[in-house]
Amino acid sequence: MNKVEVRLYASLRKYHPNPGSSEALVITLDNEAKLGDLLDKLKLPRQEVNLLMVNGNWQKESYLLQDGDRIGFFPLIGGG
Amino acid sequence: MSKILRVNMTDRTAKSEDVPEKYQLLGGRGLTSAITCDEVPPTCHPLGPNNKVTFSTGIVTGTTAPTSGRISIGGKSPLTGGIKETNSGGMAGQKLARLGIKAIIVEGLPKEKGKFWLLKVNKDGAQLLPADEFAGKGLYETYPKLFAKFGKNVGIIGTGVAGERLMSMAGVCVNDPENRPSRYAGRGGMGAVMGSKGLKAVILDDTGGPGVPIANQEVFDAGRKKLVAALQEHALTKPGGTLNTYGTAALVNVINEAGAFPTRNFSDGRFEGANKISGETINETCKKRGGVGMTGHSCSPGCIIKCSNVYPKPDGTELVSCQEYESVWSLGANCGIDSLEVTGELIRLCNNYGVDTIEAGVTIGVAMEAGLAKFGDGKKAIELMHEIGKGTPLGHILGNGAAITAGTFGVVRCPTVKGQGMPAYEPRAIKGIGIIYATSTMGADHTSGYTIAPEILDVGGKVDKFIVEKADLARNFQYTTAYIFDSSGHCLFISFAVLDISSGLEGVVEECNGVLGTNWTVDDMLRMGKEIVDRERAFNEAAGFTKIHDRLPEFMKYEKLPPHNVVFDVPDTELDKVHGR
Repeated sequence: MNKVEVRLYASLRKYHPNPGSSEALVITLDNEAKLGDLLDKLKLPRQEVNLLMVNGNWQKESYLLQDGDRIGFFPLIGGG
Repeated sequence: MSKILRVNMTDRTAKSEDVPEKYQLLGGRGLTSAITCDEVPPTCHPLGPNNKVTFSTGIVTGTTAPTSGRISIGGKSPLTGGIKETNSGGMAGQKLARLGIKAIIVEGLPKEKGKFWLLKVNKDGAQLLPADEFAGKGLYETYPKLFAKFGKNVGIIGTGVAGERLMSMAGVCVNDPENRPSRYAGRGGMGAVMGSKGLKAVILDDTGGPGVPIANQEVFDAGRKKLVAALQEHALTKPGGTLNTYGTAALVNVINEAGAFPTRNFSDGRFEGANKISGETINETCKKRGGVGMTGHSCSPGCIIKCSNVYPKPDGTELVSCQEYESVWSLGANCGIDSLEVTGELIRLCNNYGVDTIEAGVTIGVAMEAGLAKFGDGKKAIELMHEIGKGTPLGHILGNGAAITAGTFGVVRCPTVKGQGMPAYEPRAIKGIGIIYATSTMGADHTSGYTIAPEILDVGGKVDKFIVEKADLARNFQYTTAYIFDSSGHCLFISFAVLDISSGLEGVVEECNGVLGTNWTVDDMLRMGKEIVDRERAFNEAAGFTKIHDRLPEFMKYEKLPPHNVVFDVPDTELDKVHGR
């Protein structure tokens, strides 16, 4: 089993099990689980998730999760 | 016909001139840089008699074009020693434009040192009035007095005590719609150039002004409609969108997650306290504390993005406007400070003393590294800001910026390019922005070419942040920015929408064609952007800059930045390719 740490940001925080919370979630998945499976598990609507970051890098839904991965999900973000 | 107002501080005269043909199609940065190149000797001392400060409006500023209230301020920078254009929102740009003035050029030094003047401009002309009663005080005290004297509907472009004392982190302050001294053309020390000329403030009363002539209303209206539609459609810029809801500090968490959030004087790429100073926390706190707290505040009339905020104290009264991304980063993470109460207080002090929040935060970060305070010590950071306000010898060292401070205290890790402190993106982890910092005519400046959009945000394309071959990307972003955003008068933030929605970009071009009566295409605007950058580079070369100045600080080449453990590995040849050296 792989344990990953997930953070939801901006408007996606409404999908946190404790809605609005900024707390990191520690989630256990089986060894074949991909990033897309994690989106399903957290019931995150695909159209609202724009950036999928794993350990500080963009990844696709097909990315195979590794034990200890740090994951961040974002809607479309900008600023400056 | 628009005019140029020329003000001489030596004989205290102001005269109106026709706009020469070569300037008629220019605006904003295009115009300030052209005037600086034509009239300022590149080798002059920035605070001496031969430098000039030029205030110019964008091409569509003062019209009904959305999010277009920018004012550009240009001259030779006391911070970088090169050409400078710095721009701001607020109330001044539209008022200057509606007075029928394309630019104000201020030249000469006052005969009497230590005396300050106000330049009052209205439809009948301009005059210089003594400003001694307004000098030497914080801007939160000065601005209300100026509004009491000149009426609450004027626009003010002022400098604070840092500018009066000729400190090179002094910014130029513009009032916001509620008349706070809170919007800044902060970068490059143009406040000190105003101070050197004894110019405390420009007061703009546009009552009865002629307004901005539009050559072809139909073309303008069509363009405006396209741009409004793009801004209202794009998820970043639309009402209730990311910028409107969270402000620019929405970026804190994403840049931190990407491992590119400069922390404790550029020694780490992630800050453990990032979420506490993020746009999400600003939004929550405004809701929780209520009172005057709000996100979705606009910094100038006619903005439909509205990314500013008013941050409340626990009792709901106002602490400060505005907690911007750059400011909460520089005065927060970069100093190891994870409190919006402290960043808010520091931003308030920057506004009050008239200094650039980016340069102030980068400088305090360097001072902390030098041991003047511990990283994370907000109380001490506030004391250091007061040194600047009081004008003590230490305050003068700090007030002259990060490079001077690092040099004074022997700090090797000095995050500056051409003497200007780096903004909130780590170039070791995001190579394209590093190329921009290195090769911009302005010194380390993210607004010269916001490659963060494709490198991190998936806006306007998608480019891996670690790829080093980005000379073409950096060049194109610099050209696009110089004309389409910095000269049109639009805020740079329209770029998020127009990079993704091509009809929005067409709209900007059509708005400009409508005002000027031209038939430009997007390609024409890129060509003019290149002309602006080339002209600025020629000025910098004549001022003594070579390709050796188009480099990042050495420590970034050998110190690995966590968490990616990367150095800045863009070869010098790639940097030189940007401008074809």
